[in-house]
Amino acid sequence: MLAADVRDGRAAAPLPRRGRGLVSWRMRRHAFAYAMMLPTFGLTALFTIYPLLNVLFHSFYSGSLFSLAHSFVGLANYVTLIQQGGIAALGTTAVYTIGFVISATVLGIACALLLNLPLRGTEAVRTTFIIPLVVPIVATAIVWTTLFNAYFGPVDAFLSFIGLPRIDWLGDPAMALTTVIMFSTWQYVGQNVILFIAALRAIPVEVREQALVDGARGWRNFWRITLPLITPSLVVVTVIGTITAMQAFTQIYIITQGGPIDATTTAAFYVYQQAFQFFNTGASDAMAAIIFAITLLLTLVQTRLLSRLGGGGIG
Amino acid sequence: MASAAATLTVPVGRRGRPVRWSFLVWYPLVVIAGFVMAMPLLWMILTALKTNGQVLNLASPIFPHPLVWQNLVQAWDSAPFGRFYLNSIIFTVSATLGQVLTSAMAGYAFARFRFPGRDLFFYLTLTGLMIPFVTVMVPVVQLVNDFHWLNTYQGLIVPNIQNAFGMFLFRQYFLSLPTEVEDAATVDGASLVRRFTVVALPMARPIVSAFALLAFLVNWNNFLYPLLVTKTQNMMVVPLGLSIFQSQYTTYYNLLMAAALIAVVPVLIVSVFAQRAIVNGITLGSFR
Repeated sequence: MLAADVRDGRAAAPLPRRGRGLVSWRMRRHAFAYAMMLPTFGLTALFTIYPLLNVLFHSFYSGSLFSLAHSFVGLANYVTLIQQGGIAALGTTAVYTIGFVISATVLGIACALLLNLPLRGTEAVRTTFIIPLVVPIVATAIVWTTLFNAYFGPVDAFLSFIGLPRIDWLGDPAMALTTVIMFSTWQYVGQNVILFIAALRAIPVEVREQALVDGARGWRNFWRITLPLITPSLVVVTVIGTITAMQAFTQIYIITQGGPIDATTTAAFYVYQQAFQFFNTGASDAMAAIIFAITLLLTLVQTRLLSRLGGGGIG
Repeated sequence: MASAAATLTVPVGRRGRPVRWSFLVWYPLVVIAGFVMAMPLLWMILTALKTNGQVLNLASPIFPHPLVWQNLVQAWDSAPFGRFYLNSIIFTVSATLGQVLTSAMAGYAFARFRFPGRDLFFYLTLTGLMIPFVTVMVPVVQLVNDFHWLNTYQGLIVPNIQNAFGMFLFRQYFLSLPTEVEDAATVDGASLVRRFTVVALPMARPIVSAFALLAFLVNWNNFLYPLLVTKTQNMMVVPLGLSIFQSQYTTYYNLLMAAALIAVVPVLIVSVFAQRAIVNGITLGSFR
């Protein structure tokens, strides 16, 4: 901020030309700056900030999607939320989020360590991690539904081949969420691998060599040297992963449609279902408000943790 | 640069000498990781080229013989994929261009000018980053409906031509640039507009390309927003059209995989060639 002000002062240095007064020059600069930021600010205000206030307001007020008449209903929408399976959806979200974040983080570190080894061919393997990140989730999620098909899918075929019982991955309420978590991990883990590799490469060579001289090897090296040095990345990865998980929608829509028996209805899918399938915007607004509160809390935790660790953060 | 970094960071093995024998342990793991990651897409390609009878028969060989290229034609003809692609291109190109332009403009304004309320506007815009789309989707659809924009290109595009994260990236970048060149242009009589378009924007080329690629991928793959605001097939983008195809051809697994392949191939090609740029973009993206 301060740096900008100093620069701004210098930028303003050329004095008014063709007889225009100082005030007019400054006003033109102001007008120009407002015009430049208006598209971004205006559209953000209209399509993000106003809708958020709208949701928070409506989580305490009654009124259907397209009606104008509102009245204060207190916590009634939150009561509806509880009655309409909102608690179960939040529980599903918690299980999904924890499962996804742990698997994507642990596998992310493991694969980053593996792909950071000076081995021939790791570049090609790295590409296989990037592809799922960038191709449409709809397409890969559809692939997942056939991979895990209980009758002819190759995953179950492999299980019976090695003598394990077949699993109804998508039809069994106890397994469906696991299947979705496996998809999300497969789809997303490349991002964590990229971030962890960047963090590993940022560790100074001297630190590594000193660790070796001091006799830190293998696991000891990892726990004592590597992990502490990549902790800021670990925080970033965990928080971004959690926020991503809270918003997971497409894979659930494509793979399970929230079923079987609501076993994969997470908070985000719940908002969609209540608002656009059941037209119950009271419950959807209450759930949206809860998602926002959790996201906000997580962002604050991230900022606090990172500033304590001396890492990045906004501003 | 990548290879230099690789040799710098891991010059030694566990015992302080160049990694030689330990690759026997790690190589199989690398291969397994690569196989697990690649398998779903390989399986998609193999299945897309089989007859549905072969797909359903577990005893049939893994590799299709003969290759049924006809599946791709049939999938393409079974849904208006040409139209989906046209819509995807219109939506993605407009939204991406719009986001790059508005983000560069706002980033420049916040980095270079001091005006009343600047910090308030800046932080309000940034809060947009902390608001997940799923929390605001109901009122957003309501707004688009109020504008009578449901199922129109403007309804798809206009709400998407801002990006608070892009604004933040451009602001940081412009703050890191010295103002001397721009000042010189002003002394030479350049207007504020020319100062931005002719002098500052070309200097921001690295951020323009990195952010444009990231925004392009996000827009191309966007599913939820088009799902909410488009109603008819002639307005649908590729991911949404594919999901409709899925609901209509549930058990035609070979056609389903052929359709998925059609949706994946262009992005697949881009991602293989632009891999380094994507990696840079993702590393950049984690700053938020």
